[in-house]
Amino acid sequence: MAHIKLKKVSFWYPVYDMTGRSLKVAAMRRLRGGQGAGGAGAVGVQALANITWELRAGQRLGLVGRNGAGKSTLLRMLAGLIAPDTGSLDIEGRVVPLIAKGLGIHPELSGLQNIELPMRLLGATNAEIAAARADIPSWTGLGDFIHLPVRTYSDGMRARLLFAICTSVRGDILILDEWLGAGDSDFVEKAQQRMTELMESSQIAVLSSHALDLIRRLCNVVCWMDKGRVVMVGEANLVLDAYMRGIRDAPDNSVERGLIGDGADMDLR
Amino acid sequence: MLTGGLNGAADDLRRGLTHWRVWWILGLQDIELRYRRSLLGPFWISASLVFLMLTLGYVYGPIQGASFVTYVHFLGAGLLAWNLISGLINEGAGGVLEHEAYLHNVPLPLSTIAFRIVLRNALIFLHNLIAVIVTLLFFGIRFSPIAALSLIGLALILVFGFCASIALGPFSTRYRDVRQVIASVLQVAFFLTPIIWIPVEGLHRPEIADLNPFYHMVETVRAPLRGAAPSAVNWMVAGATCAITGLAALVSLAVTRHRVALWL
Repeated sequence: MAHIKLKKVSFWYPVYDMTGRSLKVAAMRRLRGGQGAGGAGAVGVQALANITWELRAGQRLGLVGRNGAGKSTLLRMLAGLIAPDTGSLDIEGRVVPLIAKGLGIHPELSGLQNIELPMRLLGATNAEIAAARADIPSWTGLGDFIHLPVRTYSDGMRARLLFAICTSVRGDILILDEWLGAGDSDFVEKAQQRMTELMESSQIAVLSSHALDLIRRLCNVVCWMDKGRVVMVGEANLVLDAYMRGIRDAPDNSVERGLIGDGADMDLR
Repeated sequence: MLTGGLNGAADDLRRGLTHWRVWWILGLQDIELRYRRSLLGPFWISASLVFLMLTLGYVYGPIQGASFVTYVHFLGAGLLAWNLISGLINEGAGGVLEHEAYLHNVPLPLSTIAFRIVLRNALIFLHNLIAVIVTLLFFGIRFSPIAALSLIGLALILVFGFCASIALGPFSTRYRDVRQVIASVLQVAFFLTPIIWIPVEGLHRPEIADLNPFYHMVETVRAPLRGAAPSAVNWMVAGATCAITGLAALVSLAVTRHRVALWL
């Protein structure tokens, strides 16, 4: 059975200024006998602080919190892109990280030719790719466009293709970063249905979103984060209600109330 | 720390091999897309190589005191090897940056990046090889079966390129000026290595070639194409260079594997 266990996980990431990026400057600093090259030109920002929680099969966790709360950092850690500086992370099961759409898509290649690479990047099996090749042309309604280069697609067609490709990989643990809604209205319904299927077929899902109604509908556990810490974690409605009271009382976070979800989180760049 | 790092390195390599299709597709796409843009595809690179070879042969052949054909033979085989080596090093150093979007979003092993760069450069090498061999055949040069030994030299250089990519990619991502340094060093190395000049016993400073690992690597490909087996020293130095680069790659993997996403 799949599980995720985080125990006292903390993570800092370095922010370099221009001089911190230069080998010449770092070497000169050493020669002049200044501070060690590691400390200079870089500032450490704590993105995650002492996070502890566990997820078992059947649990779907929603991450909420304002921008810069550490949601994206946490998702990237669960996806295996970064490792905790302190504390331990124990993941059992195949992780499918759906963090960016369009990864591995080449505009010069046709829709059909573009199916395999993005799926391979997510760790898809041969069978899944064969199934996707058979299913995607009809599901997206692209028809003969599937044989044309992706650069000739309209935005809507592109969105359908990318969505269909990403959601064709099945895993034990699904990691989703703020990108569920997209496309024309007729497509949104189809997309939601496919997304629900995907979530039901995975044992654990972790998603980050500013769209609280979406989280309420899809998740049974919610984790409220602020400044890298867990403010509250537990049963979805309980935490969401507390979170909404929390942001109502703190005027500087008022943007959250409008359910604006642009996903512009503090990330690792 | 050390054993943890080594395990991590082994894990990176294992994942790169398990998911071989990722770099296989990426590497083939690199070549395929060049064909899509033009009929000749990567042969355009080969065409410029042949053009350079003939022009330099016309200008420098007499200076080197060799016949045009002899000089072009030496030059063509040398440029072939050098272009591969410098391509691998330059692209290897830029490999992590080239894959920035991937590294932000999926756990991509560093070995996958190295494999892609090696595959792409190996395919370009094969294009160049065909072009150079056809040109040399045109000038009446015939190859002996010994020429096949250059494939072993090729394999050695590819292993070197794989290790160099893992060793240099993360480092030149952390320190952004490293790539320019590497490019300048390679430029100087090109002139230091006997590629456009033929080493003549007693006429040049022998240490320039003897102490230069690039010379020995070039020779493992060039000598067979010129009808002679590379010397034992050539093999040993080229092999040792691979081994040292391999160690550097292991250290790089152990130290940077978890940090590289933070440097992008």
